[in-house]
Amino acid sequence: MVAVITLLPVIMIGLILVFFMTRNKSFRRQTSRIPLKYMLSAYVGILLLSLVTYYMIGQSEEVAGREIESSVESEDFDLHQKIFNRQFDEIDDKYYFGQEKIGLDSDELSIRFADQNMDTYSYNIVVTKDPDVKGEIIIDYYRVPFSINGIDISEEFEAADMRYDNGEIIVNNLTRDYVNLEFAEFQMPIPGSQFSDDRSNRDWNFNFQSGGDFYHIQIPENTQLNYDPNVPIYEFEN
Amino acid sequence: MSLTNVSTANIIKKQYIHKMTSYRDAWKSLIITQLIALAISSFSTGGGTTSGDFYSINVTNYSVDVVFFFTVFWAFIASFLVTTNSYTYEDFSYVSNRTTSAVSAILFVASITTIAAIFTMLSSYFIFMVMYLTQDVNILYGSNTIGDFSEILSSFAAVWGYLLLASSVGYIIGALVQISRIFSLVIPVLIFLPGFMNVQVPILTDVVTFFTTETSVMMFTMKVLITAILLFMLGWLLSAKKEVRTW
Repeated sequence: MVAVITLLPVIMIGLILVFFMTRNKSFRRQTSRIPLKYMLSAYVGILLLSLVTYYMIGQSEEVAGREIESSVESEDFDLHQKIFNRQFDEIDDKYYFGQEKIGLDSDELSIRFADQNMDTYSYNIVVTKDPDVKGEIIIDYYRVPFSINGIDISEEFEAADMRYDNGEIIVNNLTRDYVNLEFAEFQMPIPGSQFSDDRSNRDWNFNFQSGGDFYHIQIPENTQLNYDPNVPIYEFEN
Repeated sequence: MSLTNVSTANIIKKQYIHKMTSYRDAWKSLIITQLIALAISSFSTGGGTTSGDFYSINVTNYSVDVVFFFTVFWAFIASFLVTTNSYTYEDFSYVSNRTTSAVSAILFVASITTIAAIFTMLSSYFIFMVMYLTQDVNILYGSNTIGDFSEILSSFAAVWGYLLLASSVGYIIGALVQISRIFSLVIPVLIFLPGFMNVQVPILTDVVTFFTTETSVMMFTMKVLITAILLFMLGWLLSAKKEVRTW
């Protein structure tokens, strides 16, 4: 947008020059060789061809993200607070991204990170010892949408992969690989957006909201939990 | 004494057709303006980049906004020029008076503005196709279409409304300048001086807010139509006060 605003005066000066040049008789004699009807027909033809092609190809299937109904401003903090206050029942469904249940055949459970590089840590793991959980591990996954211009692109980022093996949960991809994402966006015209609620989320300043991932691991009350105290695992006991 | 009876409506119709077919500069400048804007829009009209510890995101935006703004500028200039002597004198090729000349000019301006709005909306498809064919990246959800029928219709109403406003403002300013050349100095000063001096003119802000904050298409169309009709009528009254043509 800034580039456009910068270019506008230059283009306008150019247009004024073109106007005066076309008003000049000698210049007009040269340009008048192209009859107006041909210019108009060619231009309308190009526009109509674009219209026909657009409806022939249909909608693009290479679409990223999904629409976010409401703003996610400050919701990262909201979710964080509810998780660490153990108010799991009060967490909005929009943050809930799934559950995994794993059979537990041991009184002891270790949680180990496959990658020990904590510099780019981006997950929170919360463990609750729950008397209602018997012989299994329940993993609930919560996520604050990672959004660009009101579109949730969280799915572009891999979730952590948790594997249980012989009394041990191995967490893979805890440190995210560097992701380089590129998107194209077609926006409705500025004047039209004043009537639209659905697509009025266009933002001249590039609206961006980073998310956060939370894993809530519930294990039986009598299970002995082992983990490296230097890694971001938070343990609650009922 | 002439034996031929001609009605005012008939003269207006003839002059309107004459203007539509002979004002080639208006048509050519519309096409050139939109072609330049389309060329600029084809290289995207903005976007943004953000990065963190583990990600880098780049979004390239495409829209018809540049075409729209250029066309608004064109509508203003084209309507202004219609009021100049070089154009109005052409009406004297027919039996004419100030009223028929002004009414046919207003009809001409309204017609080319409507066509310009249609071209602007059609430009969306061209820009979308450029984005679709040149960008080898995912398209963000919701922007993989130009919009459904109601969105296209409301966008058209908005584009047409602002173009009509620009042309009616151009017409009234043109009429004022034809009354007295002093307006060609006074009007730009009144419009641009507050901006240069960083002074807010409440009435100007109110006028802009009056149109841009309207969220109902019907209300917006009514506001635009009433304002444009008033401005065109004022321009017509002003041009009717001009003296007869001097040879």
